[in-house]
Amino acid sequence: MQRWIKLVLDRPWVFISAVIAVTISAAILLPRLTFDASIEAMIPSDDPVLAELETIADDFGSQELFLIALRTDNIFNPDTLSKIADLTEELELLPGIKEVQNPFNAQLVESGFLGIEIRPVTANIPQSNQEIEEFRDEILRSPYVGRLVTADGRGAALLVDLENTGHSRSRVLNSIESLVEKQTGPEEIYIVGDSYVLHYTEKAMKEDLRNLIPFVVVIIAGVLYFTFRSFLGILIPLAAVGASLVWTVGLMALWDIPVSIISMVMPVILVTLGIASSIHILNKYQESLERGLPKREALEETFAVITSPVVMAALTTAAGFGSLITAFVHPIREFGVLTGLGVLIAMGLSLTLIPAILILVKPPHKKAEAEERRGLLDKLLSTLTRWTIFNPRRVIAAILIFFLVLGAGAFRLTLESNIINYFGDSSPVKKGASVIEEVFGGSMQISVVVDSGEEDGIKEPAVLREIVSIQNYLNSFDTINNAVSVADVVRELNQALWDGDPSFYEIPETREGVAQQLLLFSMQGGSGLDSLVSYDYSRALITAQMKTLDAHMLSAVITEVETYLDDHYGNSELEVSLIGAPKVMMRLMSRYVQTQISSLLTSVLAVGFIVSALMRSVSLGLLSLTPLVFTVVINFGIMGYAGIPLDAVTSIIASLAIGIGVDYAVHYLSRYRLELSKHGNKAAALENTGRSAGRGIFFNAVALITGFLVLVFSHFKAISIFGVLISATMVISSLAALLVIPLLLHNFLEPKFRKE
Amino acid sequence: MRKTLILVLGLFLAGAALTPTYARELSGQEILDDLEFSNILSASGTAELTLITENVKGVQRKYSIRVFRKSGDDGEKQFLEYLAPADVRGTKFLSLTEKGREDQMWLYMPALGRERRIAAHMTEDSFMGTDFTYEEIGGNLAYEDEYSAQRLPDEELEGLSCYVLDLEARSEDVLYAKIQMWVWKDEMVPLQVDFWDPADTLKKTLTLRDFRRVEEELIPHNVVMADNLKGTRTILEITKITEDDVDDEVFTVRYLRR
Repeated sequence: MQRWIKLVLDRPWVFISAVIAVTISAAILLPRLTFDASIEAMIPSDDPVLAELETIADDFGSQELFLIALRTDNIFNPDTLSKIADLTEELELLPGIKEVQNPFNAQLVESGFLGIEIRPVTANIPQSNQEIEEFRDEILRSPYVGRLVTADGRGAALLVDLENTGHSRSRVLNSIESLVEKQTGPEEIYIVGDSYVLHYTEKAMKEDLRNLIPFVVVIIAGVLYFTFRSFLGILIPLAAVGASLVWTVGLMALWDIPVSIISMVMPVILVTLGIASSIHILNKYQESLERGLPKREALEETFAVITSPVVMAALTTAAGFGSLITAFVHPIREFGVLTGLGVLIAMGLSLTLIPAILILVKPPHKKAEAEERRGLLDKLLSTLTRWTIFNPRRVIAAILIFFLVLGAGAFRLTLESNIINYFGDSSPVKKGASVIEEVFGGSMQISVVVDSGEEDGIKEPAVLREIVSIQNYLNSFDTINNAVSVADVVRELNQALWDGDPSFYEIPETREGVAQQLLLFSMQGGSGLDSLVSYDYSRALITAQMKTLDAHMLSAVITEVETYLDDHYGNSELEVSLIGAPKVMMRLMSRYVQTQISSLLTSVLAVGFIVSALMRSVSLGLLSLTPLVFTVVINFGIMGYAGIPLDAVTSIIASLAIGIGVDYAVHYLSRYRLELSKHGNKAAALENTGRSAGRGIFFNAVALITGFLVLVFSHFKAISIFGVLISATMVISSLAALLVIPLLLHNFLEPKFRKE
Repeated sequence: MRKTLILVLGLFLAGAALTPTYARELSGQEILDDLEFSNILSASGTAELTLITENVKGVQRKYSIRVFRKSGDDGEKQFLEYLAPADVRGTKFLSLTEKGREDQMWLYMPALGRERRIAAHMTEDSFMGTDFTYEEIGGNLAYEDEYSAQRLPDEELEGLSCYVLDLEARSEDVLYAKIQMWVWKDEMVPLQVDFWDPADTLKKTLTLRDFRRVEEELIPHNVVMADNLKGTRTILEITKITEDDVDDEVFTVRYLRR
């Protein structure tokens, strides 16, 4: 290491220009970076849940619900009705939109004076009182209540059929967005649908990155100014973290890894972590200078002392991130590996770029740190240490109570995988979903596929009757609404053929009857069959809307439905299966738990191993992990009490807390070893360690917390919560290092310290 | 004297014979006027067809149909019967479009055992739920009234030398803003028709192939309409066609039940 640092100090320009060259090449790659926020991207593409969805999309077209929801006091007024018509017309003119179904053009099957008729609800937009009255009666009697208009007349929906190819989705959605914006007021108008959530998410991600990166840089610059009060003290650390960030993101672009809702937090984390180690280095350098060493000697001494803790901190932190590679969720794995790499890159740069710059510039002025502040902090830290030495019982009791009470919250931990819940209540996507939930009874599409196994099998009356019974079963749930199927079309036609007699709202007796009615339907220009039955009539789809539920309810409902289907059709010739977004979510949720457990174990093992190896003591390795047990349990406890669910973002906190938080323990133990060899007396060593290591830990924690808290300003509720929680874990792990370790050292443990 | 007379006459005849082809090219309108084929279901007579509809993924539904038609000055009558598949066999459809009377459509469903009148207005855009409109399958392909024809440079289509016509809509009140037609020079029959919508996208393509002479007239026995926007196709294969006159009795509601 010593030789290495001499090499850097002898030829600083070689290193600086090499770093600049790599940084520029990495920066050139940046425009290639893509974004992907889709829930599908979270699941490995060969997962059966996704394969199922794809097969269904093949047979019945895209299963995605996309609609424009409109809410007002009463939609049955001339202005609102015209607005619905205008919106429809304008939407249909947009490229990329196939068709828009609204309460006017929806098809009715009717037995009228002229015979069987499949016709739109109304050809003209009702304007006079009488027309509106007639239209209201007609639509409220139709099967479209609860789908295109609400029974109470407060809401209407336009079902939009998007083309799957040919047009840039985001351009289409942008134009829909501006259309809706133009038409909003006095009615509330919302865009609802997975692809809009995706679009909005990607926009929010980009905006977040645009806002949060400069923000964290400004905040960190503030911290640096506060610490060093010099221009170079700000610039040098920022140059090092800036370069490491560009390198890491460049790798992302090089490997075609899209930015996900998780890796989005990477820049803030990397900048914050990188700054913390730079502060550490610069502090030590200043200390050496203050002792009167000339520049070169001061740098050599600094790096002789600092290299090993910096490397150890980087290794443990990288191991914490790296443990996420055991995650099921794809973006978490990518995030873990990339950020781990980023941490190592930052380490490499702070050991090369920083000394290379420092040797070239004038040493900074002597820092005029306020002695008072130092005094106050020292007093606080000494008190903390003295407590642990002189009142161990009380402190142990206090810590245990705190630990148990907060930790108990972990049992209340819930799960979440619906991306819509990653947003705050005031975001348009969340509002739109809640309007749809409130007035139309669900914003998630859930489907049951009935496979008869043979061509035209669905035309069998027995099969259709089973479809009806599944449909009725689904509708019997409070949380599932509007189940529709091809059996509805058949029954409506049958009723119309028998002069509209409601007692003929039945499936015909024979297969011929069904086939002939369906023929009539398509002859008459009836549409919409393709999304309900496969072209060869071998498979049918029952679709329904499901309310957004918390994970517990969701899995209860899904399990109940699946059990029912299995009980009734497990042994029948019909193959019946439940599919849809809720199942994808359930799969994800079950995997968050697995991710949590595997990454937690991996990070504990990896970090414990690294610390033990570097300190050449297994007991010290274990000792440094103890504060983290507290941290992780309390983190889950806080989440449980606060009702913060385990989701894609929060499930990575524990591993990070271990990787980052272990540094405090390591820092403490290294210092303690030094003090013990100096004093030989445990109490004195502890007190000195508490003060000196405590100061370092305090400043490091403050810098990290300040940086992480920037995430609070994210568009995503999930990410702001992540920012708060990861900051909380820093508070806890630093405090735990200062309290728990001295307690254990003083009262219970006699670890052997081998000489380094 | 006789020699000169013969010579003059011969020159005159030669001139007369040569003038239309060499001295003057056919105009677009003249080509339209000279078309030897108007449409599959435009004349009176009977036909048996296989009707295949194909969705985006190429999955097909296949029907066999028998059609009786009678077309006169006072309107059109059409009787259609499904022969296959078995579950719709015997389903019959009668449409009467008579001048001065409301259009009537009747459907007989054997499973129901009775006929029902069905409303006509939704059937305007699609013939029996296929990619054809009624106009495209039964109307005159010459489109003289609504479109003005321009000739474009000749092209070869599958090795056949064709006139190419560009038909621009005379008013905005039509389904297609532009139609392009390839007419086989040798027989003056259309081989392909492209339909363009007002946004200048190619909406549908009609191809007519397998021309066979039936009672002096050339009739395509394979007709495909592709909807380029939806990605669907409808294939019509004629198995039998005659121009025999059909008894008026066929076009009655009473006949449906037989």
